[in-house]
Amino acid sequence: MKKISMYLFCIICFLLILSMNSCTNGKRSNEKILVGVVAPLSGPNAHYGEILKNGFDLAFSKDSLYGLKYEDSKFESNSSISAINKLISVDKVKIVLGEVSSDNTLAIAPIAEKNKVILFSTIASTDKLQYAGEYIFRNIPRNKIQGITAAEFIINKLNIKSVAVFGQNSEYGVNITSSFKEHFVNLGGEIKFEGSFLEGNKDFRTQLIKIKESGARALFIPGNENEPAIILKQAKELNLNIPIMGGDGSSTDNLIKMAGNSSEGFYCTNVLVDKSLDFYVKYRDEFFKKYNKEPGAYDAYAYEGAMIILEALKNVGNDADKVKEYLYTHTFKSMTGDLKFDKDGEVNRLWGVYQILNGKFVEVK
Amino acid sequence: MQQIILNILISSSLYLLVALSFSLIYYTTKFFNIALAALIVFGSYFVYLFSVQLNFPFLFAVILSVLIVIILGILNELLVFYHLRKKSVSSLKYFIASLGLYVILQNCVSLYFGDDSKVINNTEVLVGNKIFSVYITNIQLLTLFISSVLFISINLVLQKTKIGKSIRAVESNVNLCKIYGINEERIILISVCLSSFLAAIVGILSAFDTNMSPTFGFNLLLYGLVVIIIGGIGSTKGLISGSLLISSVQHFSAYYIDSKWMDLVTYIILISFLILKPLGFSGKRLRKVEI
Repeated sequence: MKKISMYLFCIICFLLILSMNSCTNGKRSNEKILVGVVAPLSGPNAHYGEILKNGFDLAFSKDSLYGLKYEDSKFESNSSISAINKLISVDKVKIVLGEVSSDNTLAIAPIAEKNKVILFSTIASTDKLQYAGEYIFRNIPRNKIQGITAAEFIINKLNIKSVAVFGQNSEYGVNITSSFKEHFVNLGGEIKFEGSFLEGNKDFRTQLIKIKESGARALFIPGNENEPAIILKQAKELNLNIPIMGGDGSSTDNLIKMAGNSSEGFYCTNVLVDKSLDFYVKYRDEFFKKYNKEPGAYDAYAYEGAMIILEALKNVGNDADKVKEYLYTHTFKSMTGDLKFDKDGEVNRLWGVYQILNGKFVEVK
Repeated sequence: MQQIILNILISSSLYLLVALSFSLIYYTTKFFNIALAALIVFGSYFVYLFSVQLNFPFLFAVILSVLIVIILGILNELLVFYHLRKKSVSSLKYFIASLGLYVILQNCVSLYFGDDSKVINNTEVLVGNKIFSVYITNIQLLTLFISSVLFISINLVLQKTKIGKSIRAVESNVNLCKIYGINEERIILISVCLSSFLAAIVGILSAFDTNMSPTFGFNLLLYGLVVIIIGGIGSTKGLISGSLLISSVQHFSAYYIDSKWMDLVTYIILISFLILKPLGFSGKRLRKVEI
């Protein structure tokens, strides 16, 4: 008898939850039409989610018809998948912005493609996303080009022909490392050391000693912000006096905060922003008014991506197929002038090189 | 090469402290207290709270945090483990309870401070002191100094003082201790205090050297556990050789293979020890370890 009442209790609870859910759904229909966002809002990489949120919120704050619905990806593939599934099945979104990491974006791309939902990433740069499907778009250029930019910069601008490569063992790090190596060797350079680190590693001293012994004259460390910050610190402590260059994942203010003065002189590739364009000037003013700080490159691209989506939505409505056609056939305003998507949903853009001088990222011309 | 040997010494000194802190609790309660990992994290985050956020003088902040961590350790013991022991639950349930406690405490840190990396050492990053072609930073010197002093003094306490002898007595035979009038619960509390103290120090030293995040204690604790299993419970020499072996294996595999395989090699060593030499270096009984 006890067992049966237990089962009954469970069933009643379940029904209650269901009815609550339908209530909230009913409420939502009076509110704004939702665009989904999958981004890390907690976890060790929540900082990237915050950067994106700044850009997205700014773009959507001016719109009365469309709103954003955030789901936390925790920077993990599993959580990203549940997040996008929830957005698609519960919130019935037609457009999803995100994710941050290349791994997670690759994990959710097939789900978006299968459900005919547009996935628009403003920060995932892996080469593999190019052929992920016709509903997958991004406004950030590919890693391949980023690797080439870094290799050319070290050989031509720094005049250094021997380099050590020490990258993060993730889709992003491996992808950019392979392109860098290929191009660096093609340009006549020599790779003196090759190694990789895992997310969460903290002691890089032994590798840095090996790099020192290898005689490499520059160090390339594509990765996110946490580990490269520690690498910069430990390199300084071990008196490794060679130029160090990172990927776009390391070009955040958080890195400067974590690495302190050891980040001075650090080079990294990042997306370009033309600060003379009206589009940027207007964005910068609005950003400063809302957040009281200077925008970075990532939030600028997040804002730009959100503006592109908003423009499409305003013109054709909340319909994934129509928005897709709109994106493929129109030219958009962007941080680098006019922007068009090619048949893979990719943009033809270049990467720039920045250097940390006096605690700020400065573009190296 | 000298530089690598130095790195090995520094990381092994941290592992040694963790292993000691771990085994102190094991001596008296006969189970692996995973919640210590949370105490390691609490030590460093309290220093962050007091010295970075509230701008207390640094030394005061460290002392205050160590005291708070000791109190937390005692609270864990009194509120959770004491009751479990009274109900004489199996050591597996004990272990799982400590794991649960770790998750709760670690999430408290995440909730309050956030999950991103924090820096407590805001001083300028300097090139390390050069001693015989080896670079060593002040923090590393301090780590070596503090950990050897603590290790030696705690071992002296265990060997020479009455309290230490009681701890070892409780370790070897609880029932006999009761007959001789040694208050078992009091001895357990004392070992909990010592072990929480060590955990707090380890956390602060480690966070000072590199950055910290709410989960960094767990990795350290896991290595400490491996050291105990390899070294053998209750043996000072075993702990020293275990921590030296583990950190040399890690650094040499990082040097000769790649740093992403460090953990792999560590656990291969662990498993081969469990199969070939299950009593560890010291040869003392390890069959009491049920996990």
